[in-house]
Amino acid sequence: MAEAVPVSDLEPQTLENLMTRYQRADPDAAAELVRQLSPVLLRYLSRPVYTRAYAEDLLQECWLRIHKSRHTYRPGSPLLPWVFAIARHTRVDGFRRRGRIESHELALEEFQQLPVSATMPVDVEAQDLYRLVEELPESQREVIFMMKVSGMSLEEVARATSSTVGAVKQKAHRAYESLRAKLSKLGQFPAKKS
Amino acid sequence: MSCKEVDQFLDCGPGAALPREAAEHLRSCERCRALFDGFQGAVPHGLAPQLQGRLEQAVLGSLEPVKPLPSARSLAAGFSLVFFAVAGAGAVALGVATPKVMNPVQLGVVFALLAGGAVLLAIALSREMLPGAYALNRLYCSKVLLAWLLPAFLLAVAALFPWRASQPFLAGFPCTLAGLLLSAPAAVLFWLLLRRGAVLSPGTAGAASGLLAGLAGALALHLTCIMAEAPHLAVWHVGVPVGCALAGFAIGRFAERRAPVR
Repeated sequence: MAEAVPVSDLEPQTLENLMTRYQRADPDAAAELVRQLSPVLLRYLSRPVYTRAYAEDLLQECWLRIHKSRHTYRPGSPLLPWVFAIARHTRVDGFRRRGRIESHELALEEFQQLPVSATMPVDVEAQDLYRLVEELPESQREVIFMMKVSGMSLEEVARATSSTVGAVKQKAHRAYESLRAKLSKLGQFPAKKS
Repeated sequence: MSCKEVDQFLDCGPGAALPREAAEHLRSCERCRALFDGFQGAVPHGLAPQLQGRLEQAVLGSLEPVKPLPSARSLAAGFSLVFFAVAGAGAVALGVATPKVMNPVQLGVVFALLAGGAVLLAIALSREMLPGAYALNRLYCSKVLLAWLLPAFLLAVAALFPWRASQPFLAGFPCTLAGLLLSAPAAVLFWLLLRRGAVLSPGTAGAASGLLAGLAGALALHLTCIMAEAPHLAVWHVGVPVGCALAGFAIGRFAERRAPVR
């Protein structure tokens, strides 16, 4: 496995600088961006019902879209909302396409489901929590993922999801409540009035 | 401090300093501590070298320098310029006549609504072209503008113009036809501008650019048509932006479905 650096730990300026150099056709910057962003993008594009191969195809498609649209990134602006806006549409298109394919091919293809651990956080506690995050409604899962795995701010998530800061905050807080309830339901922690 | 109050600190990025009350709550509440600790360790694995190589190959295979798009403000100015140029040229070609038949309030309110709405739509469209540049202000959101602009236009027409029909109803059809013919070049120019960006929602962008083109036709009609009556304006003039928006939406959705699938 190639060593991954958590996106949230990177200096934002580093990613933005790499993107600007990528626009100038610097191959080292392009390769470095692929290395730094791909693990988090693969995790974002994966769904428990996808095969690993399908999730990787989506990641490749996402990079092709990023590559094709790289002139639309404005130097100086935050990179992650731009990347995730593209990734979000790749994921939605992939989901729709999957639905169409499944209706025709389910009987012919034996799916080997993507093992959740393949893209899971390394930390064991985090793995448990992220299994619960997978059970959240799609819009809440997306917000939690962008904030907690990608380290994006509320405003950046709002830009990436074509939403408002208030709506993102509301989704995040509903997700926290659901996660607390799920943790209590698992019997790990006593239910507590919040 | 309650669990709900602690949520605001969960919104902060990893490593953010917690106030004393929040830290005390975390010590006493296992569920909140599990959330905080779990989110802190949210680091995905790296990629398999094969996949990494495949992705790099896909990106580096056609790596050429690109010039970043102009700012959203410049793009909005471009859309606005096309709008006013087409509406102005149309009005001059058809002959400006309405100042003789409309009072200043009728003329000014409808003009302000069409021109102001067009500028807001131009700003919204410019942001549709730049991923992640979505306007946090809902006033510049294409979907919001699509929802309120036409009802506002209809309301202004209904309130300001007399409800009478001095000519047969179908006599207004040439107005719609002229408006649509004027909107067509605007739509082509907007499409040429739009395709420079990365439009992620072709349906919405198509409807918004169609509406903008239709408003250019409607503005030209507003300055030239002498039938200043509510039924005529509400059907034959409003029909121009409505028809263009629907056509734009259909074209956008068609293009979305025809997009190559990898």
